[in-house]
Amino acid sequence: MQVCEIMRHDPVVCFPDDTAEVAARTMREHGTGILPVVRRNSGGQVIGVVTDRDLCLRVVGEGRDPLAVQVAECMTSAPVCCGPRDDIQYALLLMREHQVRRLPVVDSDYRIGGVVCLSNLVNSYLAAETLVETLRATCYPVHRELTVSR
Amino acid sequence: MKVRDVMTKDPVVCVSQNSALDAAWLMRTYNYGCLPVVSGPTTRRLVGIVTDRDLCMAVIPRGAAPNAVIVATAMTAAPVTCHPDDEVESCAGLMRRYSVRRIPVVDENGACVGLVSHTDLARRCEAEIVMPTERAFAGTMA
Repeated sequence: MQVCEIMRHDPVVCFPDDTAEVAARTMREHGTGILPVVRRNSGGQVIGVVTDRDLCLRVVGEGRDPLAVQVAECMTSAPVCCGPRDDIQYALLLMREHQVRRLPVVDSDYRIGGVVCLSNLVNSYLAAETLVETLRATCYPVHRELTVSR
Repeated sequence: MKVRDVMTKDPVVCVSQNSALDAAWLMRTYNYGCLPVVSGPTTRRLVGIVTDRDLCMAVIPRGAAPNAVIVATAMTAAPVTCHPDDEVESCAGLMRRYSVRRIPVVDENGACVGLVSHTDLARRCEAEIVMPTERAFAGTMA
């Protein structure tokens, strides 16, 4: 099974110079906790991802003004991505290795096409043990400071 | 297996009068995604639960100052709870039914004694217990 068969297509995105306020509104409006960050006028080239947790920790947790902080200051740069034709086993491996449960899906020019989440994979043919192993791996981040939580 | 076998005991907590800034600082410092909200430091009677997303959404979309918003505004009051002697299967069932990934654990007096998350279940329990809960989140972007 390929990633494109289960990913969420055409995800809503934001730009690095958007304010935190814009990013949070977008997340709330679209019922998502993650936004790929794309370069303006690039056809959707991914340069980062930002989550509601990033915004919480870096804006609220640092007492900053949501209208003054840009997404570029909150995002994870150069995120781990996968391709639409990748096998879902490979996507799972990436999630486990990098301890994330969501991946932007990009083409060969790093343009966004979708987002695939660990929760998308649970209804696939993959064995329950394999999926739970990946979930376990996302519990304890090795070196990323602020992203994975209890 | 009981909830007491898998839960985080004596979790970091906050009170409803804490600012969103304080709560977010605690989440960052102790690497938590949510905090039980209790009545006070000694009695620790559970009054609510607040997540990182709750704090984000209570402060940021309206451009508020993080120290001017209090936890009471952001939290979910009277959340779903479980007891330390509950079986983990029933706890997983609660997560599924209420679409939550963490459940505060309270004793007979309603005092918060622990916090159990779906990842705690994933680490300690059989896949068959964990998977139905994960399936309940399949349509979301969580």
